[in-house]
Amino acid sequence: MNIDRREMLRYLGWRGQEIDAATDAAIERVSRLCLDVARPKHVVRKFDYRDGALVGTGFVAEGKDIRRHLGDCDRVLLFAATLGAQIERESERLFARSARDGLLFDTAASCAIESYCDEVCDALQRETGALTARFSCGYGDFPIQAQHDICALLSTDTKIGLCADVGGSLVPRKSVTALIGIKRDGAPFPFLKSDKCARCANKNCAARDTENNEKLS
Amino acid sequence: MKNFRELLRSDKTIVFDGAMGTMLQRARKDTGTLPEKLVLTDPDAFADIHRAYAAAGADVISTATFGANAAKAGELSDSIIREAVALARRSAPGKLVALDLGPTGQLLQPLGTMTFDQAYDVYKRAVIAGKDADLVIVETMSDLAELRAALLAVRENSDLPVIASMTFFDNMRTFTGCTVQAFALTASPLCDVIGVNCSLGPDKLLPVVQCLAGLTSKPLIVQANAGLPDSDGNYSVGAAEYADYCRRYADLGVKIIGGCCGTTPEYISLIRKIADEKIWRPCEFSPRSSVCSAHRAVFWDSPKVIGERINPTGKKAMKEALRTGDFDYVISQALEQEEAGADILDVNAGLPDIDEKATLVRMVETLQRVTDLPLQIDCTRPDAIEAALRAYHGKAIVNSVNGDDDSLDGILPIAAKYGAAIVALCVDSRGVPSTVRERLDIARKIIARAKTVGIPETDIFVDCLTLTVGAQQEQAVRTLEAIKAIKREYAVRTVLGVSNISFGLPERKTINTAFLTAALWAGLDAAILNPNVAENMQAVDAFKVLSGSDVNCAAYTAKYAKAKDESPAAHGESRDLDYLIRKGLPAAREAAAAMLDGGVAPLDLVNEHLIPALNAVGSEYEKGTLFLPQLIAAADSAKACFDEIKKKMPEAAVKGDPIVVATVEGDVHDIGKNIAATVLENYGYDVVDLGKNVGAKDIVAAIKRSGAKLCGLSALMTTTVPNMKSAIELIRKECADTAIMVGGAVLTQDYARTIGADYYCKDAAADVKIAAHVYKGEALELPKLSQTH
Repeated sequence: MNIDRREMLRYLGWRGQEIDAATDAAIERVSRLCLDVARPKHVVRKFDYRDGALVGTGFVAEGKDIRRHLGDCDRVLLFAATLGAQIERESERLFARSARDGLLFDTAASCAIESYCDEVCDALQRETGALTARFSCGYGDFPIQAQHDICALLSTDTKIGLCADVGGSLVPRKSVTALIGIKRDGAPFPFLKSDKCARCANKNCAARDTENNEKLS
Repeated sequence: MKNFRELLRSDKTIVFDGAMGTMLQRARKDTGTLPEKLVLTDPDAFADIHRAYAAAGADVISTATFGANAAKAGELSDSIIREAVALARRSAPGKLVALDLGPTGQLLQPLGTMTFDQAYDVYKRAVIAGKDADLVIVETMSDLAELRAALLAVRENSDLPVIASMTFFDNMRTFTGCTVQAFALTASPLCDVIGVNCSLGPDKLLPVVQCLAGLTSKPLIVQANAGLPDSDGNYSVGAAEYADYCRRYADLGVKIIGGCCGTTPEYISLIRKIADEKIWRPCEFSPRSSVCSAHRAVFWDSPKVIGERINPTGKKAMKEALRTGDFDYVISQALEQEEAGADILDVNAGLPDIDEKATLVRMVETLQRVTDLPLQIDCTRPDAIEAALRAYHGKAIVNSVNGDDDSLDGILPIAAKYGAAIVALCVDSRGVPSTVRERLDIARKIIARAKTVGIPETDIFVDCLTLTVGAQQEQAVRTLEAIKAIKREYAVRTVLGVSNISFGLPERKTINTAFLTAALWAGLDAAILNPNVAENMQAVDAFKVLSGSDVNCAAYTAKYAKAKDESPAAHGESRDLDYLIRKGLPAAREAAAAMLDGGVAPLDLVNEHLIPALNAVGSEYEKGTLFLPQLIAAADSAKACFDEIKKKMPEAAVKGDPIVVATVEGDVHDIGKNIAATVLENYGYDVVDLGKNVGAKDIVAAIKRSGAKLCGLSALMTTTVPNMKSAIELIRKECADTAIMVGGAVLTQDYARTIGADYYCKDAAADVKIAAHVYKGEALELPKLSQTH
């Protein structure tokens, strides 16, 4: 698990501005703290898959987008990961003292959970064969209310300390659940490729990596 | 039928059953999202498992109700639980039946949205539905708050014995960060048996159980996993290996042994053999003085410092904060004392014109969210103490009881129920004693009464009273003598509020530190003082060196050698205030203080330096020459300057126009709201930040209380926008003159209009413009959304 500085800056709306020494030092310090406080954990279960349904569970993923994403896969992974509750606590402590540090910490944690998920998925892919990207409920027309069934099927509360509240929010917040297809054939997904924007289809996204960011690399 | 309490008193090791889920999944694939529902549709699936464990020799059979609480099973909950208890009884005649309760599947506030009372009600309902069981086991718990809700629900709604079992990882903490020590100290008074289950294999749980054994007088239970599962669900530790570890647990004095995930009747039959071969002997335990939060325990290996700053008495800023509900100030005082080296924080809400009980509870809830330091509840009203202890997920100290029967009868039973320690104040209705003997007599009475309700000497902190040396000079020595005398007689600890000694004298620090040092040598265990006064901490640190408790002077050297390197001169920052704010540097605070000391009027500092600097930063942010963290850093610096100004000026003069902000009910995402609040505050607005997951009624109440003409609401989830809409409706109805701005990831201009807001905030800079428009009539380039306002 790491915190990619360039990705962190992108989340913070950086557009090539000069980064002064104090901000630079704070980014480094807070990123280290985030990696130190995080207790990443994940849980994964394999299911047979047919027409949106995880066979034998009674769970059906609703919406066109998730079905399109999983395509003709006949097996899927149900996946959940979290950085743990201490991240939330530290975030609140930091905010109380410095809103800047609180903001940086929150952003660093967003980068960290993505990085952790990518590493775990890359390792899973070596066991299972080529995977699709992760697809989470709440994206597209895959309803966020699926969160409760996903958490129940994985026993995330007792296995990794992750819960979905009434509205479907994950708590702790720096957490991910997703469906991942096990492809019948085709190339593995580039989970560890750092250029995340290149693998996303949304060309008009406000947070898309711009040429300005090249100055960093 | 055997009685569980009798079994606990016997010299037998008790055998529990093993995994339910593992057995069920092996028997059938289609267990769905809530396997407990099968109790109603296919009871035989569980009956077979119960029979198998009974045949393997388990003394106690757990019901198939782990996930059957109302938070997970909804309306089916009661019928599943009733059926499951009857099913276990039928399937395993002659065995004891344990009502099995697992987590609610939701995290309690502040992490999640469920309240302590809601969790309590979930467990209460389950306990009532499962009343025909012989005992209750609350297991696989990660959150100490949720565990407490469950244990109190059992204690207050049934007479059944209850087992408390949490799940730990190799860092000796649960998922939520609760330590083994905190679990032992907090849960022991609320349960009959305490222990661990799930999570790790039997090897990894050994250090957890050893730690637990030294901190509780209650019998222990261990139900480990059979190691870790592979991707096909096969567990790594076989029955024979598992049994080897169980033998070690039995040797340690563990009273109840069973199995968790991956164990089967084969494992349980081997545990049965061990239990039959052994005579049970309890673990060695002797009580130690201790307090804890869920995250940190404090033991008395050396004297401790109790920070006294969270107390409105004689402190204008704290009074103001408690009256207006500005808990950010309370948090800042907590973190400042924590940084200064306090071990425990005293919490006092004693102001005549506020609701002490409600305020105290809110302070406890707020503080345990951000600080790991254990709390001392500084209050003498039994109802407020009980409410605060109920809300505190740790072992607190109650400050204080005195020698009067009213005080003892009112407070001791409450402290005992929640397992709190107490401060025993050596006064009674006859007044302040003047001799050592009178002090001892009162202490003896309190100690004797405390023991009758089960509070051990080690949990009693005797306060021998600091009197003012300027008025009663001979009393300083009496106090020190009383400390020595009481410690010769009992295993109690002693505590003193130090600073009262110097009241009325010049150069109080000199007297305070000299008295503190003398008291420490007399045997003082806890000093209530201001840790932000360096001399106080230096006296304590020096004592630890000289008395040998700071071994090799390590802590002292680490602290003071480092302090020298970090003198302010090392930073070499001497630029002007405007520059320091624009760059977001912490040195802005000292620069502002220096300007104020140099005669610059506070309002001039605000109008000629702070606001222009912030405006410059704001416009650079809009032009894109600065990005968000730099804007926020400037706001942080300006805030530090405002703090300095507040010290110089009467409160009213720096009071800006009020703005209420909140993240709406059901939503726990508050970063956007926090940023908006920070920026607004630094444009001089008096921001009332209600936090996250805030109900519409609370928002309306805050608007009415503050008279805010502007309210900012935030929501991140599509699922919580309806709550934003209903909050807007209520504000419209109750506070027609208040304008509403909304922001958050899922909102757009159109969406904001649809739900009836006045303004949409695309970023923090927009908030400032809207506020200037509402309060100062400045022109607004952003479109106003609704026509009703």
